Amino acid sequence: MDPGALELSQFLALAALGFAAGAIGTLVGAGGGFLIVPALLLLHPEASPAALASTSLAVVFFNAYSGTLAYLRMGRIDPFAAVLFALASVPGAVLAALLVRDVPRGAFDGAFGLLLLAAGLAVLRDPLGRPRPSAPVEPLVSALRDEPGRMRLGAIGSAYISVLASLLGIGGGIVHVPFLIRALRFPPHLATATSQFVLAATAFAASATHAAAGTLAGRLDEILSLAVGVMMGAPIGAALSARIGGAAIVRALGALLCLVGVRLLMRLW
Amino acid sequence: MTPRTLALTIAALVVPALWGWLFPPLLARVWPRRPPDAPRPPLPDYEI
Repeated sequence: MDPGALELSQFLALAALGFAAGAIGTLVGAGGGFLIVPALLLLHPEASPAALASTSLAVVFFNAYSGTLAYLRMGRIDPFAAVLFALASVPGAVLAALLVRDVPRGAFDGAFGLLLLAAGLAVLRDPLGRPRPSAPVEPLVSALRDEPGRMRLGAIGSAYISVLASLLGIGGGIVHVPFLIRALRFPPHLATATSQFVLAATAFAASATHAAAGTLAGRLDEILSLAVGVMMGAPIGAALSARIGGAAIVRALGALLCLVGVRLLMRLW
Repeated sequence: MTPRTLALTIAALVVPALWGWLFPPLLARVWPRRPPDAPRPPLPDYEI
């Protein structure tokens, strides 16, 4: 998109896309990057994966940053786990931001299509991601630093998730939150908040890498338009998630993810 | 696949495991520990 050439209609369309991504993403406990990237893939059929991933990651950063500030004020972030997972994830996020510049568009579309299909099926199977009956009620994160195995599992898992997320241009919350809940036994409220902190750090590191490599040049208008929408939509999603059951909406989202995933995979043939 | 792509791919596969294995004990060593008799901060009543 030509910088400075953004018309009001384009701004409104991008802000509306960001709003939907922010609201729906927050409703299902993610940052919205997994909705922004496929929309950008369909809007910009000729753009490079690096350009699309860098745009989405910058938007994700704005959203995760504002979410992190809110969660910090609420005391919902476990500081040790957040700093541990964020610092463990940054090198992988930087490497992936460099690697995505070498990824051909067809492979990117295919990988993203598969991810969406998998995420859609997972959402359809377990719409609200409720913890299993065996999940502990008491938070166990305070003991994380005294359990080297669990600490390393969290650090390595978070690091690989950040590689995947940075490669695909998503924040990674859609994978990281279930990982924290199911593999590390985090209570859901701490998992979503701690994941936001990690996501903000890795999205910042990846965006800074893209900015240094010149990938973000000329995309500021698009990023800011999307970011405005996302930051307006996220609180709406949070409010909706507290007021409605949401299972039907999330099932519809799962079906939508599957459809977009199939659509992207079909472009390979 | 260029040598740059290959090097970055290998690094992206190896570095997370290596760093994720080495880094946590280092952070745990420097992270301030809560005194055993300190009261636990109350957790708010969440709506998830």
